[in-house]
Amino acid sequence: MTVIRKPSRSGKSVSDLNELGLWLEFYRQMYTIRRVEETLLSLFGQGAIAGTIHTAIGQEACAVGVINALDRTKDVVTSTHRGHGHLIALYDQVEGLIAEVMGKETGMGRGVGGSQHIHFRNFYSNGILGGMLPIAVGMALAEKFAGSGAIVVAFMGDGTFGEGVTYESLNIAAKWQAPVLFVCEHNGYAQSTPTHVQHAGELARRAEPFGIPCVEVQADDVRKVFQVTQGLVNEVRNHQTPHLLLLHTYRLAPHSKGDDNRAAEEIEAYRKRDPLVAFRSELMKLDSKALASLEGEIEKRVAEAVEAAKRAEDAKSWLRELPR
Amino acid sequence: MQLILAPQLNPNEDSIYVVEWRKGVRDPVRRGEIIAEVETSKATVEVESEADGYLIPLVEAGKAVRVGEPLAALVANVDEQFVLPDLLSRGTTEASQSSADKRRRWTVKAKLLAERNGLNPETVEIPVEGPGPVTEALVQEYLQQRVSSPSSSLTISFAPAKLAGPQEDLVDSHCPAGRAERILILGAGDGAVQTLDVIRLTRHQLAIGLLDDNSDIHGRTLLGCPIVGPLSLAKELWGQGVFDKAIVSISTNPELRVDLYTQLTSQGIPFANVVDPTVIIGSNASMGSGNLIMAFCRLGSCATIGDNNFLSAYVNIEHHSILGNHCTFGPGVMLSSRVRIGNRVRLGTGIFMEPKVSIEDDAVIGSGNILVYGSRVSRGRTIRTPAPSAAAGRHAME
Amino acid sequence: MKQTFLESIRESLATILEKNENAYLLGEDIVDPYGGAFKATKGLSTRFPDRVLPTPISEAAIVGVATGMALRGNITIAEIMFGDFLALAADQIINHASKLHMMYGTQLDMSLVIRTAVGGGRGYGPTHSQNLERLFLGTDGLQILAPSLYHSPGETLKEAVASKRPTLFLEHKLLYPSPTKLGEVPPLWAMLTEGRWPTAFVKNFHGGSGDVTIISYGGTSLLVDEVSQRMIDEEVRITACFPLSLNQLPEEQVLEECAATGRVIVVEEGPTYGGWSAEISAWLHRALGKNIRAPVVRVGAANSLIPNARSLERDILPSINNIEDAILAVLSA
Repeated sequence: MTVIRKPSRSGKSVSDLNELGLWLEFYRQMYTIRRVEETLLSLFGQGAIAGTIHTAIGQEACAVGVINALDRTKDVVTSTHRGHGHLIALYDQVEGLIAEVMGKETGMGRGVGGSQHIHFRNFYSNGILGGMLPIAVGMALAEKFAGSGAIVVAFMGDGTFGEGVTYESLNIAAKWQAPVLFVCEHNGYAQSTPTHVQHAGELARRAEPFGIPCVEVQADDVRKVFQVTQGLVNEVRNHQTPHLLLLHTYRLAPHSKGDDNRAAEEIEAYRKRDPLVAFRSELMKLDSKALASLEGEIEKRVAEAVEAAKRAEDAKSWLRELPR
Repeated sequence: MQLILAPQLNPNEDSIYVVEWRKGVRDPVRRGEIIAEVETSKATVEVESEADGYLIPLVEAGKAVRVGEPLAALVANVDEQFVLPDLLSRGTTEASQSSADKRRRWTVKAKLLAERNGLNPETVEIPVEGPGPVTEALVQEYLQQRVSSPSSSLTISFAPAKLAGPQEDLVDSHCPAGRAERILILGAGDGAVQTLDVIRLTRHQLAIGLLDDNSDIHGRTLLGCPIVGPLSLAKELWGQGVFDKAIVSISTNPELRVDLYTQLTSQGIPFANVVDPTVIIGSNASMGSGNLIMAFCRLGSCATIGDNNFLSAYVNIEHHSILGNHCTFGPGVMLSSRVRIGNRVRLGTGIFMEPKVSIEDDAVIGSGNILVYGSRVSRGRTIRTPAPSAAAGRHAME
Repeated sequence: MKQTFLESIRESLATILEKNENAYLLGEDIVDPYGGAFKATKGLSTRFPDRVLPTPISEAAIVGVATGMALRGNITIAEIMFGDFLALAADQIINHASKLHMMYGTQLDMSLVIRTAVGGGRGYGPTHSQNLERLFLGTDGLQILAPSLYHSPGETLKEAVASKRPTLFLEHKLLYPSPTKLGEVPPLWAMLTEGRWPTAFVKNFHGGSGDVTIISYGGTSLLVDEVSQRMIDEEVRITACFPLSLNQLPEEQVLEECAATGRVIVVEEGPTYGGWSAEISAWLHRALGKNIRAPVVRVGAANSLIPNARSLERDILPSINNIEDAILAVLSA
């Protein structure tokens, strides 16, 4: 089994947890992501956030399932405009993220990057579709040449298959055997356009001609995503070959704030099978007490993070002082 | 005879280097035989002979040759006379130039100087020793001689009085180096009297006449200087070469002052600065032309004044102040440092300005005003003389 | 034979690879025996087979991969065969390479150099002859360096790597075969200013002040050099200034030189509309104020594409005659 080291808030490493402990930790991460993003949407409604935010509400099982299969001490993650969940699952950064999105000096990017442009340790996100893919390949090659044994996970969406640079990246990754796992969160929409309206052929077969194996998973259960990713991560790490993981998921919230024109019935149908809610009902039967205290803690933590960010001073400009 | 041209070995280079000749002079060579090794920055290449014959290399080993120019020649017989045909276009141009155009070359700077002084480089003959071109220095010398030597064709069609400027001078005609600048004064009123006084005190200028549109005074003199005719005569007098520079002495009619200066300078007539010897000029102060500066004025260091300004006595332009063009000053206008004054500004008597005052174009400042630190007078605005009772404490400020 | 511009680059690339085990070259057709379209990497893949990486024809990915490697601590030098192909990598340059090191709230080191061959004069036609640096001039976070005839391109390349900032490095095709002019270059006098990105000052006279200042960069230094030599016979005293860095205004010394003559010509090879020379002219007019004795004259390509035929290309690109006309214009003003 892949070694997973993740200091949880209870102070235990994920690998030390028993099965129930591991599930509770997955749920803790998913619930944190959900509550942070719901809170951000509400702050946006209050006018406390500049620009826009892209949430992954409904897609939490993807971030948590994939990230927990990684070695947090050395693996690298590149992310997209929809990247809050990846960051929280990887490094549990709640306070810095909320402050950053609110444009505060205490934000993890001191207000420069905002929601879509975040870097922390081995995490890098950017808001250009497909733009981070060649960079992820370059980072994977850097690890390969350095012999570090680290791999890179490059998150992308189904819309990313419309960008030409995606195929340049797949080609080089395969040709140079870069240890990179492309993870496509296929939520069925590129902004407002359904996948079938914009893409010919099958997305699952996009990487095949380059010799990159693709594994498809219905990302309804975080444990299933975790299990499949573990296998792929081993492949990528041990054989130094790129792979594609295609996760079928659904975004319950709009693309960004206030731009949803999907049918209400469609969203409602998916809401009924919300992976977070399903996972919660299962855990309730196993340990309702632990679940309740965990949720209470998260509510408190998010509320405190918002209050702290509101009190913090606005981001101060230092960009003008940079040498030109 | 056949020429072998330097080959284009890649699209990125204009010339190739000859590394070595594999055959000697007049060695027999066969078509396809290697005759030389040449080099570009990318590769070394062997050059083959294009025909049978005897080889005459035309470029030394180690030298470069431009692509397309002759690298070698092949002659049919070992002792055949060889003449390089005149292939290069620049050779032919040089040849045709030297035969068709015998005129000496002028440098760009020489031409510009000549044209600025009304000389036509196409027609003027300037003597040059040796084979070189007509240089700026030679034109300069020519111009100085023209100014200082009496013009033999000097005639003034309209000359009611004899000009004060000497036609023939026992000293100046023989020793022209110290020759005074001959000044034509425009206007023959009170300002002209002051101007004549100033010129009389200077050694390097000489008033040779006055022009005024009042025909009643034509033919008379002012402090001994003849009033020759109307202002419109200036151009004709310039054509006759009887004066070197002009000055406008009029201070009471600013529009006329501006018109005279701009019209005459546009006709190529240079203007003098007439500056009283008591004026103190600081380091790095600068001045355009046509300025009339009366006694006891001072330009502070680094002060800049433009063209055609009239500064009455006791005006102080303090350091780093900047004055535009065509302004008139009454006596006793005191600027402090870094004052900026635009164009055509009229200033009365006894005005005080604190540092960094700024006065825009066409403003008028009445006598006795005090402009406080940093104040600005906008374009065209008039600040009247304060009422006598309040004058002492009046501050004009915007 | 003095070292040519191309040889200086090639030697510098070899030194960088030799001294840094984490240095990599990426680009199309860069390995032996071909050694790159302009031969800048010839011999290097033989010496460093693991670190000279031939890429597919994927300009965006070349820059992206190089960016990723550089962000993770390597030195990467990417070759884009023709400057025109920068358009294919524009997103990676503008939204990634020039942003990632600045937009995360702190400055990250990034030793990335994107080398590319630019410019016309070789008859390559509309899509292989352009000077597209204008597209990147307003992209902050990207260093744009264009060595002239009077800079050592090799030393500049090493400095670019050492600066740890993403750099667009422009090599004019016409400069490749030219021996670089460093130190003594009779009949002209050349000196470099202090500082990381020195401006080259080249005078065609000794002592006293000049008549005209010419500001230019990169490949047009060849034209300005020729004009400066010709103008010796015309008694026109010229100081030419060739800044190395295009994404910032030149040093104060350039301004002082311009203030002394008051007559300035700005020369670039690209079309003048919306170009570098416009930025420089605006700066001069504001900074020189009354010291301007003639309006700044700009010389550049006609606002057109660059045609293939020699006669047409000559007609569009700036020429020695254009610069001589400009000299006459500023002197006559």
